Formats: sequence, structure tokens, C-alpha cells
Amino acid sequence: MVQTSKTARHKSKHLSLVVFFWFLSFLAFLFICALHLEHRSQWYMAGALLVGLFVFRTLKRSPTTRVVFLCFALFIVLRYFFWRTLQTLEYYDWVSFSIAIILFLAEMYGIMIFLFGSFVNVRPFERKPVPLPPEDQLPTIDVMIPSYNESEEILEVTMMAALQMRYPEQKRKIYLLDDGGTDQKCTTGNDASREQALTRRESLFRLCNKLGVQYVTRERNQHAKAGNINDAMKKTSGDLLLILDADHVPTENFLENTVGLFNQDEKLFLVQTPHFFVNPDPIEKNLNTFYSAPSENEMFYRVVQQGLDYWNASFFCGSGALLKRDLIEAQGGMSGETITEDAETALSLHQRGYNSAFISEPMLSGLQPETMGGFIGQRIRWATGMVQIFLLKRPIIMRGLSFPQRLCYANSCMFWFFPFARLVFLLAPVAFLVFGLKIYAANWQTFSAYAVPHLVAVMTVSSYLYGRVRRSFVSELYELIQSVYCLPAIVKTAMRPRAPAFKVTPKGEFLNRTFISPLAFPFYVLFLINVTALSFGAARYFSVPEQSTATLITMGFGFFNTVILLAAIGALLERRQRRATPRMPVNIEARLRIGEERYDCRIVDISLGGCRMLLKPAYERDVQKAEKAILEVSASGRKVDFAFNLDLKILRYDEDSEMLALGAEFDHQDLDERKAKVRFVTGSSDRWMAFQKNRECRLGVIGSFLYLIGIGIRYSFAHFGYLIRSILGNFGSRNPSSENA
Amino acid sequence: MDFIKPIKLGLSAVILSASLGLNGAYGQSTTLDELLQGLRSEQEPAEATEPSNAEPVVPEFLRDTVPPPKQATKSPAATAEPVPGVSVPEVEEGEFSPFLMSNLNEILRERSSDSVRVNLTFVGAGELLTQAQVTQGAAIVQGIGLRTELKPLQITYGARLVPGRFNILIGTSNELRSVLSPELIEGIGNSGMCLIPMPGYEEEPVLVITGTSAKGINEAVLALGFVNMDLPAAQFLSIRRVLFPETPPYFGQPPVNPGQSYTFLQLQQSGAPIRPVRTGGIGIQVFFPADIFDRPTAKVNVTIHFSVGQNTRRSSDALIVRLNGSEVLRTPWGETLPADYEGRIVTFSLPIGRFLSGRNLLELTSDSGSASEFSLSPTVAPANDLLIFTDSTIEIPNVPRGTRLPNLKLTSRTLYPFVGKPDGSEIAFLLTDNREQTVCAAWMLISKLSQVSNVFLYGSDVSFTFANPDRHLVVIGAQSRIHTKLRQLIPETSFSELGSSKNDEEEYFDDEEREPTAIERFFTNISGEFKRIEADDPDGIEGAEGSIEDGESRNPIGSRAVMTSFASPEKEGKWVLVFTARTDDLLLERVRQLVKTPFWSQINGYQFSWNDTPSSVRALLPEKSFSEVSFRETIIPVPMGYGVSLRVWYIFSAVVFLTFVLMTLLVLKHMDHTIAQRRKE
Repeated sequence: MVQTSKTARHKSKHLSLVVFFWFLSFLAFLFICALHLEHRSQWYMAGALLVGLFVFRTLKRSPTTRVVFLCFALFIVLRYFFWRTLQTLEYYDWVSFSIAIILFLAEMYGIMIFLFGSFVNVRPFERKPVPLPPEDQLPTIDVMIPSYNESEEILEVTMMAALQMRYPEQKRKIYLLDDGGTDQKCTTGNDASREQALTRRESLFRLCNKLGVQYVTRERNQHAKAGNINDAMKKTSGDLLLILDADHVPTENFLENTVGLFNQDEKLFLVQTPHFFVNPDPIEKNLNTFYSAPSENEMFYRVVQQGLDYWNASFFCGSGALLKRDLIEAQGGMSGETITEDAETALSLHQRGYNSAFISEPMLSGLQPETMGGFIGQRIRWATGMVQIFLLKRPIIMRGLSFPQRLCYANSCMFWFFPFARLVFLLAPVAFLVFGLKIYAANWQTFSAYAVPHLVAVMTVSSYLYGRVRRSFVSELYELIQSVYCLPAIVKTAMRPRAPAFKVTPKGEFLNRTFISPLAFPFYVLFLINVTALSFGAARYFSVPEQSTATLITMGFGFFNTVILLAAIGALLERRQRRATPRMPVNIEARLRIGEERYDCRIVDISLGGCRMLLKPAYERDVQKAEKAILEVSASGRKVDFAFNLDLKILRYDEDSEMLALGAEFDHQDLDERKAKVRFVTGSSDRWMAFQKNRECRLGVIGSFLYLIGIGIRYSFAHFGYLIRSILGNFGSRNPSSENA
Repeated sequence: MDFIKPIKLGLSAVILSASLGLNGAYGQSTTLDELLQGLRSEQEPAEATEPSNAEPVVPEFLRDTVPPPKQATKSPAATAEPVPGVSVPEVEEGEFSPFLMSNLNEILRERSSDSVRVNLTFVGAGELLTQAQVTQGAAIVQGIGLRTELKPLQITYGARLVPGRFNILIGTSNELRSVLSPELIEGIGNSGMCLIPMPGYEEEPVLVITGTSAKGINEAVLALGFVNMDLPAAQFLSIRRVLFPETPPYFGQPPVNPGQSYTFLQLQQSGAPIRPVRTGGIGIQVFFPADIFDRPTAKVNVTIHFSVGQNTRRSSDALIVRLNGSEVLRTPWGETLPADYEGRIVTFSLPIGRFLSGRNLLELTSDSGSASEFSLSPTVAPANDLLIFTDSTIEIPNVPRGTRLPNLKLTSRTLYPFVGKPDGSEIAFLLTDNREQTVCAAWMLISKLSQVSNVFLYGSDVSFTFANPDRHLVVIGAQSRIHTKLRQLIPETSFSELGSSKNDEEEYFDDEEREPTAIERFFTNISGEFKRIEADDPDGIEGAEGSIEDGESRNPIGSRAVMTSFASPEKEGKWVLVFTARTDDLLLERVRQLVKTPFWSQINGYQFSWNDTPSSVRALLPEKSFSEVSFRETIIPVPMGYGVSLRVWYIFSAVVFLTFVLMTLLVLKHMDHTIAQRRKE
């Protein structure tokens, strides 16, 4: 023991020494980054560094090439940083200088996030599941499903899926933590609310009894979700807690893949898994990118969390995570000082020296907000909560955290200040093009020597780190849409960090008509401002020839902003939903039994409501007559794993596959069949992974930009067309929303 | 030969005693003892020349001086007999006297509008000057040149004084006994100078530089370079001794330093001329360092504190600022700010790139131009004029220093990189021979380079026999006499009109007259017939001429002269500047033209050639070099910020970067290990 301790001390000393020398080399590195070069020399240097960057980008990825690649980028970016700081801030007049400083700060913010991001993602750690211990050593698990106002249908699916997770039944219990039927709500003075709460409580209680789930509620609605879980913890006793949001449907292997890690690490308090969503968020839906491009959240769950995991800083995301009860209790339960109780709890436990883990395999499927309003509301909550943590917990200087953990938490929190930078970048070109303010003191030579390589490096790094899971410029689009509404919330939080209150994100909404989002107006204004600025820019180009290069460069940025704005406006035309339950593309061989006859078919998409199959055209006459059928799905040859009753709905000829396409709805006869359907539709993590894999595609920076231009023009035109039709409709010329008919 | 030593060691201070004129009023003397601190002990005295005890005879320099008819009537008796002291003509009180040392600068400046014709006469000199005389002459012409501001000197030398030129007579007091009165000789003592009328031309002053020995003359020559020091209002100046300070001082206006702010008063005190200019208003000369880094964003901030009198205000409406002749600012009076104390303030910034290396003229004027009176004052404002207060400031941004070389434009404006220390102790001027044409051309160029760099190059080597390899080299002489190694670096095309955009008439030399081209020399060299031409063997070319076969192609060899600069092939970090033409006569003729502004102002690129008209100039720029011209561009390794452009800095950067990458990999490897341990535990 003593020997081990000595060895550990020796290793720690050795590491400190290595870090010390690294720090010295870093100082020298900063020195060469700060050296000013005349633009010609900088051209050569930046060119050489970019060549290095691209060479290492093309090399086979390994931990070493990744580090070298990032170092090349770091060199370029830091050179830009020093040049921008030391050379480009000039005082001309106070208006120009003020805006120059604001732009500078926005850029510095961007560079800081780049540096944090590079640090976080320098060594993404892909954890493999650890096998479960023997049954007698398995920990007991309380699966907690906090709910506030979600529908019974949503909860039923989640509970059914939770019940079907592979784990010894006696070792796990499922709890529905209903905050919508608390004593407080059931005794409120408002008759309608009281009635609603009582009805909900009664029906959920019955549902839970039917399924074998324990219904738990509490006296008062205190501290929102954190308070709900804390209250339930007092009433339960499992070793581990699995927290699932009401709409987060776990796969069968969830516990198999996660519980083993606790056996491996005594100090492990958290195993977080990715949130996989089966429906598109409003931007994906309105721009029709859900099936063709990775979702926005994949960057966080498939890359960033892995990076955080390396530094022991992956944090609790509120759902889809196993937590160790005694450690949570030891720190007083779930934290609730901020409205992002999940990250706050993780921070608190990291501070106490406990560990977290992240498994990147998606093992639950959830729902995203359907409307732009719900989406923005969710993001405002996240932004507010993370800003609260930044201001109230101050992770950068928090004692107990390791230095990398501080940086990781700082990155996670400070990312949410993006609205400030995004809006500055959007409006900065206007300052020059319209008002002629001098906000960036550089000529084209120095700009091309320092700024252009910086931009290229940043985009290349972004593509390198996240290209698999996020197309270029998608971040800009999402950030822009959120910025307009998140910025006021962030400012309010900055002024009164304790004021924000928890708001539940609406899930499972259904849009039965197309409409322009009420959030669209500010984007019209921003678009007009940008177009005006570009017009001024064109005039300036000819009227002030000595500034033509600067004007062209600024117009380039203005054009980029306009393209992003077009895409944003396109995304703000809320499109009608065609299905109540989202369908996922699959490729499953099955048989359709009609009467005694069986017909081979292939399921091509599936949802909890139904599925679509492809059959041979020869079956047309037989299938056409039938209204009911049974779908048999074989897992291995002869054995029939699932058999579902179907209502056959639509039959048509699919030109693409030259097959018959048959649409059907599930018509389950009993609870077992319903549970089997849930298991069949939502129980496989492989299916989610395959879906994610299918969406992976690298378009490259230019390809992504052209793609963005394409969807920007297409959907913004649709938006403006709809807007014009609406205005004309108001004047009685014609029905404005024929699309909704 | 002994003369070289003190010149090479360098002068740093002179202690002078001056007296007030011929009438025995010796009361005024000037000493710098209080001003100069930490002076080194006096150098070992140079071996004194034994004073000659010979009887005075009619000196050579007076024998054939023929006065013009008008003058002759005034002084018909000149020249024939020995003149035991020339008396100074009577001058009425208040009138300008050309025989007061204090008026020396004015005498020189007023001689001509575009150039000053100077004639040097070394008493007893032969047709070819000695090494010591050439060196002495180089120092004298610098002292004279620095006093004429930028007016170029047209220099001759000879055994006789030449009417119509500014004559300088150099000799020991014994040799000059016939022209200097005993009172003057006594007043001057061991070393000094004086102004006397030219015999036969009583209104023409002759500057006499004399001493009891060669050392005394040397000290007087060096004292002439003290251009910032007021000379006494007396006919002569006596020099007691010369001391050398630790650090070479600037005798002209020192350059401004990056990162510093200067008031106009400070500029004025450091020697910057501030005086009315032709466009009206006040001109302030600001001398910029040669190697200042032109950072695009760096700005020179200028604050002008001024007041405007009633007349000016009525007749104009704006303060106008011009830099090197171009208007850079026009601020209406109303837009200027009231100063705290009195007058008004206007502040503006100019990109540092608008200032040239070397001299810059900042003019401050108003719309009314020369109609108004202008003045520079510390405080009080006259009622009706534009008044610039001396607390006005110019702030130089803190930019790194360094430049890309060779750059003849920079050299022609500042003598960079040849002038390192302000005493010129890093330069060796190598004359290819001591022929009259070569010496005069060299003196003119040395004087010009001294003028443009604002530096008295008293520490420089001037020689036609030996070039110190540890110094930058300025080579002056006919092409054929330049050392082979250097000559081969000057392309033949430079001397011809080949490739020129100008259609000057090309001159064809007969085979007998022409000198071999480098290619011819190359081939003759490998055939073993070529005789190496040494710098001190001016006749060596004849052997080469003989090797050229008759009937070879008639190359168009031109009447151009060439100025070029390149890195020294002998010594790393040293540079070579060459002025050459085909022949001595041609070189002298071309140099006479070159030192004039129309030619000099066009010097550019790394190789410059010119013919007899300003439009004939041709510069080879790095970007536009002819294909047959090889060009080596080098960076002077001076400032750290700029010096990174050097390869060594690239290598350093690469090493640091590599170290950083390796250390990062090492840290991460350790982190991997630590984290793996933690997970196992």
C-alpha cells in the first residue's frame, strides 16, 4: 500500500514536471505567435501552416495527428489573436472605436470558444460498455420518470419501454414522478386546474397500476424537476437512479450497457448517454433536413461529451443518465439553485472529486419541441441555466475542480454567450457599409495575411472535429435563430442571476396547419438591414474607390449574413405536421399475413402509430382487398419474434423502388401487443445508430455553403410567398393558406 | 600617413577657443568642457610634422590666380609678389561680413541656388594627392556640405585658388605665412581656421585651415564638421584640443526614435531646422530613421498648438499641413480646439508610411500662404500672425525597426545600412585610384552622403590603397579598376541602354577604346591570358584590353554611370555600394550630375544607372528586375520584431512550434496514463 502510494506520488511529481516544461514551451510558443511580421512574411508563414493543417487533415486520424493538426490551427489562430489585439484597434472617433471594441470583443469571444473547444476535443474518449457483474452483485435501480404535463400516451410508451429494459426484475423498479398531480395542484383554488390535476392523477395512477409502475407524487411543486427527484429519492432506496424524461424512451440494452461502469469505478456518480430524437426540431422540419443531415444536438452528444469525458467533465443532461444514489444524497440531493439542475448537480459532484462517464451509443429516443416557440423556449432555459451556473458557481475558479474540468465547464457555460457575438457579427458590416465607420484597422494585405488564414483554419478545424456530425454553417444558422431571443434572457440573467424560473419544454405538440412563426418579425428587420447594407456597399464600392477592397471584403461578410438570414427566415415558416407520431426510416424484412396467406415485405419506415411496407407488385390484388393483416417480424429465420395486428390504410405504387407501398396502422389487441410494439419500435439502439450513420455526410465547407444558399433561397421564398399570400388574403383576394386545406 | 589614425579613431568633441577678430579683442572663447561628460583621455598625439624653417616664397596657389577684369581694377597688384597677410576690407556696422567665421554657413548657402562650387587647395601638393590629403579633403567637404544643408557641392582641387569658387586653403601656418598676418597666425595658434579675402578678389572669402603641424590641421578639419556649434563672430577660430567622447555624437540632426514624443522645441534644440518655407508658413524638418518598419496601422500623431492673429484669420479660414510638399490636413479654424493656456490645438494622425526615411518637411501654413507672417514661439502671440507654439508635439509610434536590402532609395536618403554609428566608423570609402577625377567624384559623393544622412563621417576610412574588410564598403572609381570580385556583380547591361525604355542615343566605342565586358574577361580569364586587376593597379586593364580580339561584336557600351549595392561577397553582414562608370572622366561628369536633386531624388531599386539627363535614369527594382540580372535580397538582422523575417527566426519558430507539439503530445500521453489509472482504480 505504501509502495503504491509512493509510486502514485512519484508519478504525480513526474506529471507536474512534464506539465511545467509544457508550460514553458507554451510560453515560447505564445512568444512566436505574438511576433509581428510584415504581411509578406506572414503570407508565407500562414501558407506553410495552412499546408501543414491540410496535410494533417488528410492523414489517417490518430490521437497524434489530431494533436498536431490542432497545434497547427492554434498557431494560426493565436497569430491572428495577437495581430488583431495589437495591430487593428485604432481610435478614429468614439463611435467607430466603440463599435470596433464591440466587434473585437465578439471576435475574442469566438477565439476563446475555439480554444476551449480545441482543448475539450483534443482527445475524445469513446467508452465501451462494461459487462454486467453476476446477478447477485448487481445494484438495485430506481428508474425515475419525472413528469409535469406530458400526455398519458407519451408516458405510457416511456414506462412500457422502461419495463422492458433487460435487467433482473427484482433489481429494478420504475417510478412515475408526477408533478402534475401533486396535492398542491389537486387542491388549488382554480376549479379547472384542480379538476385537471385530479383527473391526471387518477388516470396516471391507473395506468401505472396496469403497467406495474409505481406512481409517486408529492405535496407541493417545489424546485421543479430537481425537487421532484429529491422528493422521490426519500421514498425509494435503489443503489442507482435512472432518470428518464417523460418522452425519453429507453432501449432494451440501456442498463446492460451502463450499470457495469459503476462496478468498475467506486467514485463514479454519473453515466450519461446521448439523447437521440426521433422527430425533427422545427428548423430541421421547416428546412426539410432531418433525414439528410445530422441533427444539431449530435455535435454535443457524439463529439463534445466524449471530449468532456476524457477530462472527467461530462455532465448530467437531465435524462438518460444513471446516477449513484449515495453520492447524490451525500451532497444533499439534486441541486436546484439554477434552472439547469442537471449540469449543476454534476458540477457539484465533480467538485467533490467524483467521476462521470459518457457512453456515446444512443440508448433512448426522445421528442424535440415541434414549434419554434417551444424550441426557443427550451434554448432560453438552457442558456439561462448555464449562464446562472457561470455566474453563481463560477466554475473557472471553483475549488475542487481540476484545471481541465474548470476549462470544460467554462466552455460549456460560456458557449451560451454566443447570442452577443452572433448579433455583433450580423450587424458589424452595416457599420462600415452604411455609416462608413472604421471598425477594423487593416488593409487588404494584412487582412489576407492574418484574418483569412484564421478563418480558413477555424472552418477547417470545425470541419475536422465536427464535420461528421454537423455541416458547416449549421451552427451559425441555429445560433442566429436563437440569438435574437436568447440575448435578452441572458442579459436579464446576468443582471439578476437568481430570478429565472424553470419552464417545462412542451413535447408532443401537433401542428395541423402551416403558419409563419410569430418569432419571425425581427428576422425581417435584420434581413432588410443587411440587404440595405449590401446596397450601400455596392454604391460605396464605386463612389469610394480607395476603399473598394475593404468594401468588397465587408460585402462578402454581409452576403454571408444575408444567406444565413434567408435560411433562418425559411425555417420560420412553421410547416404542418403530417403525422402525429414521427416515423423513422428502417430496413426490416417481415411477412404480412392476410388470412392464411403470407406475403414477404420490407418495412421501410416505422413509428409507434404504424409503418410503411414495400411489397412485390404481384401481391397487389390480394393486398388491395384486405383491410386487416398481421405483421410478422422474424429475427432469425423461422422464429417469429413479433406479430402485430395492422389496419391496412393506403396502397400505392412506389415509382422509386417499383414496388407496392403499403401504409398501415398498428391495431393492437391487448397490453402485451402494445408493449411488444413499443419494444419493437423503440427498443433497439442499433437502429438509432444506423439512422445516425445514414445521416452522416461530409459536404465540405463550400458544399455546405452552397447547400445553405439553396435551402435559404428555396424556403425563404416559400416564406415570403406565404407572407404575401397572407397579406393578400387579408384583403379578401384569396384564401391565404391553401397549403393547410 | 599619420593623419589617418586620428581620423579613423573618430572625433567626439572639440574644445575650442575662439577670439573675436583681428583687432585684438580675444576676449570671447568657447569651450565644451561643461557640456561633454565622461570624455576619454586625449588620443596619442600624432607625429607632428617638423615646421619648416624655410624662407617664405611666393606660394604656388597664388602664382597664377588671374583676377577678372572688374576685380582686377580693385586689386591690380595681386599675385605677383608675396603677400605678407591679406587685410580684411572694411565693413560698416550692421552689414554682412563674409570674413566672420560665424557667417560661414550663410556664406556657403548664398553662393548659388542649386549647388556650391568648392575648390580645395593643398599647399605644396602634387598633381596626385596623397592618401592623407584625400582623407583630409573628404572630411573638409563633409564639413562644408553639412553647412550648405542639401545643396550639393561641385568640387575641384588644384594647386591654385580659383576665383568664383569657394576656396579652401589647407596648409601649415608656416606654409601659409605669406598669406596670413602674424596676428592671425598667433591668434590661431596650434590649430584653427580663418576667413581671409582672396588676394586680388577682396570680397571673395577663402577658408584657411591651418595649424602649426599636420595634427593641428587635422584638428581644424575635424572642427569644421561641428556644424551644430556656433562659430565665433571673429575672423578666425582657434582650436585648443580635440577630445573623443565614449559615444559618437550626432553632428547633424539626429533621427527621431520610435515610441518617443518630441516637442518642436526639442526638435529645434537637437538641430532640426525650423524656418519659414517657400510655400509660406513654417517648415519643420523631422529626420526619420532609415530602418523604421512601415507597419500599415502605425500612426504618427501630431499636435499643433497655435494661435491665429486677426490678419490671418481674416484672410484665411484653415490651418494647412503639408508633408513633403503634399497637403495632408486642412482644418478650418473653427474645428480646432481651444488650448488650455492660450491659442488653439489641432491634433491629427498620419500613417507612418507617409514619412520617408531621412528628411521630412512638415509645413504648417494657412490659406493666405506667404501673405502672412509666421513665427515659432514658446508663448507670446503677435497680434496678426499665425504662431506655432514650440510645445507642439510629434509622437512617433513604437514600431519595430528593420528593412529589406539592398535599397538604394533608402541609401540615398539615409546612407543606410552603411552608416551604423553616427561617426561613420563602419564605412570604408575605397577609391580605385587617386586620379583627380576619381578623387573629386569621391569627395562629391562623400559630401552628398554625409548631407543626406545628416552625419559627419569623421570615423570613416577613405583610401585608394586599402579597404578594411570589416567595414561596409563604398567603392568609387572607373569600372575597369574595380576589384574583379565586385566588378562581376555589376551586370554589363547596366552601362548600356539595353533594356531601357528610354531611347537615348547609344554610343559605340571603337574596339581600341572600349574596355572588355565581364563575359570577355571571364573567357580570357579561363584561357589564362587575363591578368588580375587589383584595386591598386590602375593600369592593369591594359593587359586585359590586349586580350580582346579585334573584330568582336560591337557591343553598345554606354555613357552611363552605375550605382549599385549588394551584400559583401567577403564578409557576412557587410554591404557594398559601388559608383562607377566606364572611365574616370565619365564618372566625374556623371557624379557631378548625380549629386543634383533631379538625379539624386530618382535613385531607386538595387541598381541605378543614369546618363546626362534626369530622364535617362534607370532603376532596377526587385519586382521588375531584368531577367538577366540576378538579385539577392537580404534582411538586415536588427530588430527582433522585424528580424523574425530572417530565416533564423523561421527556424526558431519552427523549433518552438515543434517543441510545443511534442510537449503537448507528451503531456497528453501522461494524461492518458493517469486517466487510465484512475479508471482502473
